[in-house]
Formats: sequence, C-alpha cells, structure tokens
Amino acid sequence: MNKTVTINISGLIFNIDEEAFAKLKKYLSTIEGYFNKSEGGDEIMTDIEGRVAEMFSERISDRKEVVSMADVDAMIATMGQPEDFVDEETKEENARKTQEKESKESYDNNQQQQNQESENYDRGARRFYRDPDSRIIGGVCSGIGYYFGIDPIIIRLLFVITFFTLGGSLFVYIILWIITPKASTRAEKLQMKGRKVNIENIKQTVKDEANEVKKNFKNFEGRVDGFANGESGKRIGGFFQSFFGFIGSILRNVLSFFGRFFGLILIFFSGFWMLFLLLSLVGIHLWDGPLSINGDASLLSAADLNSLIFTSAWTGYFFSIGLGLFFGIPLLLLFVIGVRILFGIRKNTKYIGLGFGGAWLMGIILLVVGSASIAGDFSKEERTSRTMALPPSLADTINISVNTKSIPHGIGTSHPNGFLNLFKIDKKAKYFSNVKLNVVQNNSDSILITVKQKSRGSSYKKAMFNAEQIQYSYSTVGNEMIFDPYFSIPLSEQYRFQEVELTISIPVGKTIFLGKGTSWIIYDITNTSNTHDRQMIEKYWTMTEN
Amino acid sequence: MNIENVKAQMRKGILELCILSILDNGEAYPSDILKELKESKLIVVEGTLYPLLNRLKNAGLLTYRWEESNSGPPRKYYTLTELGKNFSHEMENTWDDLHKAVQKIRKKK
Repeated sequence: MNKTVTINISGLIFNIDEEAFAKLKKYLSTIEGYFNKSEGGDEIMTDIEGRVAEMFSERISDRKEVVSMADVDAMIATMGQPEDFVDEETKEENARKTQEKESKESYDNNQQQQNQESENYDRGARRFYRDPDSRIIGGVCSGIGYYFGIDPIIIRLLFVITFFTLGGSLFVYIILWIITPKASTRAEKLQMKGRKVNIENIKQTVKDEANEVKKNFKNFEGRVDGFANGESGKRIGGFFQSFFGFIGSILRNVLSFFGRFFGLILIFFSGFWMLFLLLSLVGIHLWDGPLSINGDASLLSAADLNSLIFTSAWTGYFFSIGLGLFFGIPLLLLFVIGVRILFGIRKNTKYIGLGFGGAWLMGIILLVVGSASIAGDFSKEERTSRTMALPPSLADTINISVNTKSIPHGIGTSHPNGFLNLFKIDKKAKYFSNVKLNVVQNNSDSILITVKQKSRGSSYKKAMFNAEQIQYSYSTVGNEMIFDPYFSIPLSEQYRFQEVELTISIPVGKTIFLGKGTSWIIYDITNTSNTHDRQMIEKYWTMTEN
Repeated sequence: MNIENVKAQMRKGILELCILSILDNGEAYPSDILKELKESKLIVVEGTLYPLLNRLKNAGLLTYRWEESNSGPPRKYYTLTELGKNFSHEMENTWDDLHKAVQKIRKKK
C-alpha cells in the first residue's frame, strides 16, 4: 500500500506515488538549478515539464491510474540527466553570472576583469574517476592517466611490473577500483579529463595563486588606506568583507595544501600498518622457520606457536582472519579517506560503507567466538596429586638439586618467566618450565615429596584429563633429590595453564641444601630470615619449630 | 584531441540544422521533432532539445503557437520565421558543400 500525491504538471492532474514524487521533484529542481540563471530558463522549464506531463499521460490509463517509480525512472531515462543535456552556452552563462555575483560582492569594478581571468584559470580542476570508455579491467589506470596527464599505458605497465616484483599493486588496484567512482555522466568525464597537469601548468597555477594572494593583499591594503582616511561608512563594511575574503582565500589555499598532505600521510600510515598486519597474520601461519621467543634459546616455528593455543589449525586461521578484519577494516577506511582527500573525490561510491561495516562486524564476531571458545578452555581447574614418603633413616642433610643437563643450551641461570612458560617444543612433546618447589614442615619423622599437577580445561573432566597428561619426573638417590626443571605434555595438547607444584615436607631438625640450579624451581619458601628465593640457593637450611 | 568531444561538437552543429530542416517541412511540436531526431539517432536524451529550441526561438529563427491536445497538456507548435527559413537554407547549402567536400577528399584515399 502506497500513499499517493496529487500533482499538477502543465495543467494536467496526476496521482503519483509519494516516493516517485520525491524523485520527480528532485529531478526537476536539479534541472531548474541549471537553467534558472540563463535567459529563457523559465520557458525551457515549462517546455520540459510539458514533455514530462505528456510522457506520464502516455503511461497511465483507466486501469493504471497512478504514476509509479518505474514511470518516473523511464521518463528520466528518456529525458536524460541535466548534466548530459545542458549545453555549453548555458553552462558558460551560469558560470559567468555566478562569477559576476561573487566579483561584485568582494572586488572593485576595475579588478573584476582580472579576477575573472584568474578564476577561469584554476576552476575546473580535474577529478579522479574511473574511465569506463578506455578501460582494460576497471578503468583505474586510465583514470590515473587522465588525472596526472600521463598515457595510461605507462600506468598500466607500472602496475604490471610492480605486481610481478612486489605484488602489492594488485591490492592497491583492487582498493582503488572499489573506492573510485566511475565517470558515468558526461560532466564527470569532463571533470576526469579536465586540464592536463604538466610542469608548465603547475608553474602557472603556483604563479596564479601567488598573484591572487598578492592581489588580495593589495586590495586589502587599499581598503585599509581607505579606512584610515575615513572615507565613508560604507567602506567599512567593504573593508571587513574584503578582509575576511582575503583571510578566507589564504585559509583555503593552506587548507587544501595541508588537506592533501594529510591525505598522503593517511595513505602511507594506513598502508604501512595494513601491510604489517597482513604480513604478520599470514606470516604466522605460513612461516616455517624458527621464531625467537626467549632470546635465542627457544626457537619455534610459527606452526608450533599456533598449536600451543589453538586446538586445530583452523581455529587459528579463523582467529587470525577475525583479528585481521577487526584491525584491518579501520585501517582500510583510513586508506580510503586518504585517497579520497588526496584526489578530491567527492562522489560517493555505493555499498562501501555497508561492506566495510559488514566486514568489521564479521571480524568482531570471529574474534568474540574465537576468544570465547579459547577462554572456555581455561574456565575450569583440576589437579592430580601424588605423594611419596622417603624412609626416615635418611641422613640429616638432604641435597636438593636440579637436573641441569636437561636445560637447553643457551638459557641463562634465571627462571625463564618467558612466553607462556614455554621451554621448548621438539618432535616428541612440548616442554614447560613452570615447576614450583616449596619446602614445608611436617610433624611425622619421614620426608614427604608431593607432586601436584594442575591444569585448566573447558570442563572439570577435561581439566583433569589435561592434568593427567602432564609428565613430570624426579629421582631420589640416597639423600640426594634431583628434580627436572620442566614438565612435558604430549604434542597434541595445548597450553592450558599447566603447572607442577612440588612440596617437600620435612620434620623439624632436618637440614636441606638447595643445590645448583634450584633457582629454576624454588618458589616462595617460607624461612626465618625472610631471605628472598634468589638468595636461598647454595645454602643450608634447617627446619625449625616455626 | 578527444574523440567524444569532437563527436559531440559535430553532432551539436548538425542538430540545429536538422531541427530547422524538420520545421522547414511544416510546423511541428517537440515530440514530433524528437521522434524524427531519435529515428536518425541524432539525439540520445530528450532534454537536449529544449534548450536548443529556446535558443533558436530567442534568436528569432522560430516562432510558436499553442494548441490544445486531447491526450495531454497543450502543445507548442513551432514554425520557422522568415529569418529562420533563410537561415535554414543557408545552412543546408553550407552542409551540402561540406558534405561534397568531405566525400571528395575521402574518395581520394
């Protein structure tokens, strides 16, 4: 159901759909805008309206009483867009009238002539459009050619060469293709072709602009003089007008320069980060060589890193795509804005905003879903515990040491609090370093060693399973205890905050010696002298009452 | 040198001649003129005609009278003035000369 409007065109009554009416009204007022300044403009309007009425009356009948959107579209297609049929004379007339009006407002009569000349000179600057007439793919190269006044074949060659050497040009081409409007009307084609930019013209433009400023300044000085001489009250108004006109023209020049400069900066900034994002996200999946994480010690391949967190490679890909879209789309938007500023594109291309919004939303969804599924894998915690008692006949002093032979070459002597506590990944398993040793007091006369294996998982069952997957070993020989500084999990498992907690509980009176390498594992041992863990190694500690 | 511009300019000069020629055969209202011009593919969008008619009328080459229509709004029937007739004949002669000249030169190729 549609609301209709009753209208009168050239004395005929039509019922027209409300939407169709809005379009018709806009169309007619656009035409009027072109003709209202020219001689006989009213008459042309009347003639055109008469023809519109005629076309509509041909399309309606007893059965079809309402003028629809399709009728209006058909009429516009037959009549044509105003910029396509307004003849040069009308355009020139319009331009002259507008100039005269402006000139009268801000300049003296004797300067009018000069101003007109210089205005004619730098108006009608070219716009960046895609050229549908001599295109190979999207008309981008041809458009660039027109914009810079270079033969498009050179631009095409540049694109092809850079495509084979750098590969980035395809990306640039596609972006330009998407964001650059097509020159579809004749006016747009003329704007696209515009004036050639060569050294001569650039020089001329710069000279003109300098002259303009100089002239305005002189004009302004003249006004000041007039003002100082106290001519008439009217002059004051004129003075302010020309003063602001002068400031305005300087501002316009400065702004357009900085605007373009800013556009260029935007392009470089966003282009650089997009490339960085693309390379790092693609690279993390494709790069097969070593990646350095804890200095030079643990060299990992990107796939290894991926398998640390993601249960399958696909989760990793989706997460990366989400990440890429989330950060990439705003960068792409900046890039587009930069290009539009640089080339002064005003015409909006359809669906860009929609496409960008959609892609960004998809990125967010991928990220949220990905993060949620990963976060879910960390939600529950479980632990296993096993305790071994050493025979009480053991000597009074126990040596605790770490199996230093198993520490990979090159790691320093401090606890590797590095990335995800990762030690190394080899062909058999993943090794982690978060093994924590604590020493406590017990009331019996035996020495107990408790190994707690902790892990997280999506459920208690899964967390328990993960905890059980942990492989940790130590050995006791006489009064010697040798602990591994790491535990391992099978290659198929991921990092889920696994941890091994060692507790040695000893009776009062027994002494322990924290041997070489124990700095790797000791964690917050309560002691009477409040000595920091670091300082406790290679010393004897005797368990006291407290 | 742009082919589209040249084509448009050629067509524009000829368009005025053709409008005058059509009216030389008798009075006509815009839709008649449009029909003929469209048949000979001289015009793409109809809007082009109205500013041209207006300019020719303002130059004193055309005049018009109103006539009521049964099926639509009142119609403007255009006819040539004396000045318009002379103008039209002169243009037609020029066109014939040009046409001959072009053909002669093209045959030599």
